[in-house]
Amino acid sequence: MTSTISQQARSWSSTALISAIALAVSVPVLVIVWSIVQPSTDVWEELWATRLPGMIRDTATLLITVLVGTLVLGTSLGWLVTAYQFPGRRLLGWLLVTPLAVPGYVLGFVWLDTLQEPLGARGVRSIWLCALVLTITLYPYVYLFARAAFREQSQRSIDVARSLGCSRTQAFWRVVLPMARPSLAGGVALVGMEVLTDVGTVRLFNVSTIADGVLRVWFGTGNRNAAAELAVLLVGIAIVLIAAERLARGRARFTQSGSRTGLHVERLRGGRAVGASVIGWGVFTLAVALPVYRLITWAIEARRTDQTATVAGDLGFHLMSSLRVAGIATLSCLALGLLFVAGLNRRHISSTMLARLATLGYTVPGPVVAIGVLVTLAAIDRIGWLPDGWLLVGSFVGLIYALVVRFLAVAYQGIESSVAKVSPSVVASARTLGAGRFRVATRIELPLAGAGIIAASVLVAIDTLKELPITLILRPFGTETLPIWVWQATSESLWVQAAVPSLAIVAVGMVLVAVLLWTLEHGAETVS
Amino acid sequence: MNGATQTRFHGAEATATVPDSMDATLEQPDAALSVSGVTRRIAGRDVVDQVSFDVTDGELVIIVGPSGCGKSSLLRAIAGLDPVAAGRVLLDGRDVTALPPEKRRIGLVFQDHALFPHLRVEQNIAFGLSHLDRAVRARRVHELLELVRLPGVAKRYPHELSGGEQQRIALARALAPDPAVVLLDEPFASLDPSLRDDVRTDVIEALRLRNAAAVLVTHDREEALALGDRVAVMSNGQMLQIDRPEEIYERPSDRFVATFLGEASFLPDPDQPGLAMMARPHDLDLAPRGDDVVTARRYMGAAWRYTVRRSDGSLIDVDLPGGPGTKPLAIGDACTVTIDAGHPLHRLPA
Amino acid sequence: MIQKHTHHLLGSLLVGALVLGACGSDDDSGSSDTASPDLTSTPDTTSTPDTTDATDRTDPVETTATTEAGSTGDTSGTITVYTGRHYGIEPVFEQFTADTGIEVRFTTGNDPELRERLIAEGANTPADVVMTADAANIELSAEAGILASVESDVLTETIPAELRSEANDWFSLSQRARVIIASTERVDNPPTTYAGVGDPEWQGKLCLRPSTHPYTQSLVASLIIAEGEERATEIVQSWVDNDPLYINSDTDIYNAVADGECDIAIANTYYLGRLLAEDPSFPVGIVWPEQDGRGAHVNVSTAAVTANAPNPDGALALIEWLATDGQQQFADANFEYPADPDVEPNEIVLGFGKFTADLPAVRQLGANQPAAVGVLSATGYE
Repeated sequence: MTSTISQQARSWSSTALISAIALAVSVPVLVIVWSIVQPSTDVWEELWATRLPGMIRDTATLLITVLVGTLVLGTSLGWLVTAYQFPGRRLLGWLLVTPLAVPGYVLGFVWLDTLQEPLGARGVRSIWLCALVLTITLYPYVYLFARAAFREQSQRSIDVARSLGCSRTQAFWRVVLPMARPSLAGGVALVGMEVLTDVGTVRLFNVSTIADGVLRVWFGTGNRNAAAELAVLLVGIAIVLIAAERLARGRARFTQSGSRTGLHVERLRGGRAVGASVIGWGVFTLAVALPVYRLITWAIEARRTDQTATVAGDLGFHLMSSLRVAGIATLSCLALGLLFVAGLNRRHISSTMLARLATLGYTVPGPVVAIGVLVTLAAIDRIGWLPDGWLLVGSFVGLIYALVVRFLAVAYQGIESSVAKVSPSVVASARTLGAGRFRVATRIELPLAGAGIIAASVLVAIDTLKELPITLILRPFGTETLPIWVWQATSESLWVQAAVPSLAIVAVGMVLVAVLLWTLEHGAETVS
Repeated sequence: MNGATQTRFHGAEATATVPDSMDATLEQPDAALSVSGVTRRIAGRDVVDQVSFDVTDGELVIIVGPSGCGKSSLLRAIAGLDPVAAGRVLLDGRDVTALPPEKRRIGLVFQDHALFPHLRVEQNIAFGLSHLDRAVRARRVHELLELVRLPGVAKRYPHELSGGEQQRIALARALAPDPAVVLLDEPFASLDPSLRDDVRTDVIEALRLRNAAAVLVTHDREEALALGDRVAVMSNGQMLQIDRPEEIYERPSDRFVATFLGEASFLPDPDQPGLAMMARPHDLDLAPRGDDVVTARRYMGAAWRYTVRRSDGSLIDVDLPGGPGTKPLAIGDACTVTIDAGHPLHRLPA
Repeated sequence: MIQKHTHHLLGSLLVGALVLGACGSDDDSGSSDTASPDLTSTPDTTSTPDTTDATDRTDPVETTATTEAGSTGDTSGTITVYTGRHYGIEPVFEQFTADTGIEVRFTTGNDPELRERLIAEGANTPADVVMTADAANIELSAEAGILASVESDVLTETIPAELRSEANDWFSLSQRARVIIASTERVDNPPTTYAGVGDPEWQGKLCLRPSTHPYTQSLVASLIIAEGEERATEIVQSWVDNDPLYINSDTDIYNAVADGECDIAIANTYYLGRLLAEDPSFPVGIVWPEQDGRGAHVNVSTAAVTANAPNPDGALALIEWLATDGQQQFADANFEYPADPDVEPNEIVLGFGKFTADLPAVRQLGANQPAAVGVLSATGYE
């Protein structure tokens, strides 16, 4: 009897804690969304009559193209480096993650400038090129998840499938790929959110998405309500996307019991080995090598012509700002994400709603989150709960809070999907041994899901490192990140001056990617 | 049913006549599986070294050996999952050595059953039946579920089944496309001991009912002796001997086979130098008094097992029947080891 | 046991929160710590003679003082600026500090976002001065009631009435003209009015900036002011019917004209200033539009004292300085025309020639911006 009561109490307190977190990170978005209660029908009608159909068309085209593109590219590259041996495979396995380090807006302006010559200024500004740029910057999300999923699979599944009449290729389609689906869906979901909320890259290519429309309406007319309604449309699309995958998953599980023997690696020879190398290096060249080369030549030009005067402070100063912001934001997202996953009762119906709430910020564009946070924090400042002279708006805490609102979903998604891969029988046996939910989470699920959690953290770190709109609006004095420097230069079309900070972002991103990969490799070794 | 039993015994006798010359194994025209001279080489080492044997329809051959002896590698080579460096694999008289696994018609069952977690039970079983039309497929799935005595689980997912049920489904899946031979790699090793006997019985029964030729790999000698129509012992990549269980237990070809399948001591043959006599503990007796000394004893229910140090310093195990009224020897008691087999002891090279 | 683990996890979260708190309070505590060893937060350090050395460049933004509500009237020598005009702004502030001893701490951003921030902060804002790169945005701020009217003889004397609001709650500091540009190699008779840009002659040969940019919005607002919404819609529609190439960068628009991607375009003059500074033979020329009528559309860079400025005196001092001693430097930094008609523009800018500017429209740009956005939407202007 008493144990039941104390269990209930524990369950209640963890639910309360989780609810509090979910509420805290969703308030800024809800504040914005709230305005839909008083719909501004006239603007809405005008939008329907003018831009909205185009926005929806562009958003749908971009979303579908990039989702399919990243799924195909990320999955096939992940399969290539996991299942086949060819010259340079190990190095490529690492390098193919590095496009993560190149922000979309940087890759966008480099490509825009590079392709201007052959394609013409008109030809280069196309939705297809925009989709291509987004695909090659975002595919690593799918690639990382795919690679992890493939590595965790057992060769025996493929062996059995082959004994049952499948060729190696058929076994991939019928067994390997379906079993990797939750991971792939996790990666694709991240890509989908990034595409839906992108406001930097699309503008370079004259693509009018809904996210772009939110800012267009808001900042062009000052009509916050109409902008909010568009933002709600985005949230709706995101929720439908996620719900579709959850529904399709149904009761099925994707983990195998028993030992994980890993996949056998097939050695490619001759033409096929060359082909594999060419594909891998080609993607790396387009996504990283070419832009880095262009940035370096621009940086040299900037130095030669002494074009460095657009910003206050030197490289070191901006670098330290970026590291401080990204570091603390990442730790915060990680801590809250872990707490959230640990405390969430996955059997309870409310958990879906809480998770949706907590990840709302990832479904709306950065500037919308920023204004939502601004309004929320300013309201708290006016109430005056904080000691005299302390304000949240313009404080470091406020900035970190906003970044958590925006990127908690990335941490949560990564942690949750790795935990989902921990065999339920392990969890069940731990529960039968009398361990509570938190204990199972901290002792069993989290350590087993360790590599996935590190991966999620690095993704958050890279996201916050590249983040511009929130930092731009909410940064405290004395915090000038590298993307701010890039913005200072690119908003004046001074591409050459944007080279140094862009390179610095890429360099830090590369280090993060290296850390990520090293940890994943190392983690895999200690497990096996 | 009768026919199946007949064939099995026929096969057993056929090879029993040439127990010592593995290379001379004849490719039988009616063999479901015929393996000859198969060698699997990894990094210059022959992990499977010139192995030859046949399996006929309805026969269960069990390959037993210590871990790392190459028995699983042999199975993978037969299945076509790994390439062979030399030798041939024939299925129903058809040379499949060059064929990929999907073209061989082989059923596979692994220790971890490797059910596809994303598919329902019926979809798992029907996995290899995609060439059949819907109705036939459904009927076949139904039949197989009946066969493995799990008629009600078609709509479940693998994680909703117990370990034993999962293994039976794995067998049903392997049998579904009517394979020429079923290969089972340690199929019972991961099962709970309390379940193991039941699952074992059901699996063997299902194989018999389908008259399937099967090769089962295990490290458990009791399992091998109890279940196999024939038992093969492997060590260091070589198949040392293959024979009916009683033959291989009673007439092992060398000391490794003898000791791997059970306790055995070797006594010098007084008549033929260069040969040794194999004595299982129950082939021996202890006479009171003498130069030998009891150093340990263990009660095993049906018998007492004594460990005796002989006058030449060697240790030897001897089983003496227990039962009411018998008075066991004590540790330190003097005695003499004698042979009391009721049959001539098997002789093998010293 | 279970609770212990809950606490363990909570504990790590709390540690995280403390780290955040520490960083936050670092930021805030600096405000009261005037004796900080940080050389920048010593307000009474009057003008070090030369502050252009590399380490000093970071100083204004590194100043740690933040936000003290109710510190109004505290004439400590620091002012805080939110500026949407950020290109080359820092040396200007440095010069101001050198001249007056007043430290400037500033943050940059996009005009509308800085306005949202000011509105949200309300009475708590640390900002003394807000600067924009665009007239409409400062007017929207004025409408939102976040700007203060100031009485300053210096400003009313130097800045023409058209270039400041009626309420004197914002002041232009420089002007830039949005003009027709044409290839000097391929175009003999470029259009001389904005309506002429819509002539079918320029079908497929026209480059424009997308409607998301304030420059486009304020240009269309000026058309509405001059010609009425109906006529403005016709004009914009005629541009759109010419199937323009939209490029979201004036520099790239100039390059597109030079490279033959288009023959004519609408762009700001000051980008040509930059391009000519690099390459004197750049093959693009300027056509001053509407010279027989209202004059070329001009937009302005502005500054205003915020309604809740903690240091309004310092704020006014900066704006007055920018309108007088700093006027030349401020305008030159961006090849713009000074707001004070008595101050000569940069040499290169002078080379573009004299022109008539549509100054009366400047004050009304803000009020007409929403209508302009509507026109742009209705015509299908990207």
